[in-house]
Amino acid sequence: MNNAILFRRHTMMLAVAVCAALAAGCASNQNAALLHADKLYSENRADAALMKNEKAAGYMAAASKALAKAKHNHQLITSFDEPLDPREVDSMAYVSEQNVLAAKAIVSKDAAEGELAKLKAERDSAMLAKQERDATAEKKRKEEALAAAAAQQERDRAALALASALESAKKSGAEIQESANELKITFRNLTFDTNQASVKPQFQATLDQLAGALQQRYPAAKLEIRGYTDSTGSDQHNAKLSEQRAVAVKTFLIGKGLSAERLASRGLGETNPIASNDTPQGRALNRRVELSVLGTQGQ
Amino acid sequence: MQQQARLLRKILVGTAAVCAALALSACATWRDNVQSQLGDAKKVIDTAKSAGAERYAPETIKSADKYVAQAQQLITLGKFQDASRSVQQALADGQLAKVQAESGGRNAEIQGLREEIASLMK
Repeated sequence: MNNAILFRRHTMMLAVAVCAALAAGCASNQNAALLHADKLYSENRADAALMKNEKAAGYMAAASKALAKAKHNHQLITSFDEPLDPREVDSMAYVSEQNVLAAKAIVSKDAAEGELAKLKAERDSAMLAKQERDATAEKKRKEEALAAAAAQQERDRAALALASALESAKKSGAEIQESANELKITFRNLTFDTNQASVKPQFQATLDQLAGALQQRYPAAKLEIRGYTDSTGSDQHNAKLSEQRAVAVKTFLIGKGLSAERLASRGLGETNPIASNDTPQGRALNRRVELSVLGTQGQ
Repeated sequence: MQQQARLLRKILVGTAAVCAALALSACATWRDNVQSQLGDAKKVIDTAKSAGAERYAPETIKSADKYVAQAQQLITLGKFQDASRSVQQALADGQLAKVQAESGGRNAEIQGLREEIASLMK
């Protein structure tokens, strides 16, 4: 009886040992390359993006076929029925993996092509917009160049007119002095009769021409008009008279279109004589008006 | 008795000759098949290289070249079955390299276009 129990126990232990040995044998027969390829294929076979794409689906089919072959070869080897080279499993597993990767790459490539088409359209419209911008800028540049040329032409004409007016003034006995930022015209012969403050008719044409030329050449410059007298009469009288003479010229210029805001007049009486007050000729020269165009630089 | 022995020898020699011829013929067919497959794989690899595989899929194309060289060596040694395996691996690499190269090329174009658009928008 004891022998029978002992026999049964030994038999059971032997069965357990055989099962364990078989399980261990199965585990050791696993092929790493095959497992890896199988995992990669399984992870991707349900990917709709791969299966919807005709070419990718073709690669997946090839991967499936190679994987099946690898499994079949593996089975033949592990069943000991066939003396097959284990590399038959590895190479087919490798082929399967490369095909799955190719399927994924095809989908990436197609996505990139879609993006590329979108970007090409975007580039074309950006190019068109740039061409329009360039054309507008070019048009503006040309207009500005034309305007600048016209302005330069206008300045040249004005400069010519002023030179001509100054030449006439010189002929009338005026003295012209030009410094960096000021044009000073001294009308020595813009003679006023004694105690008179009106511009003599013979000088009106000269002043008229000058007013037009100054308006053209220096349309924004300030003008200062200073009136002087000879020493005849009291200081108070001379101050008043010189003021009236300056105002007379100012009024004349305003009448010719110069803005009153640009014009300033002062009466300086008998100060700053330019000739002797002892002779009638000298006194005539001292009865004068000086006209200064200020801020000529840059205009 | 001697006649029978002579006949038997003739039969044996004849059979051996037929077997050898058959073996040689099978061997030649196998070699031709492997060489033909190798030619196909090389064409795919060349296409991949034209698509820029050396730039965009350097590892894959290197592996493809390695398997081609391996297959050629194995063919020379008459190991056609081993050569066939290498050819299949070379082909799989070549196909993958071609797609990777095309994809890489598109991505490079995308990058270029993005830069061009940014420059046009300035």
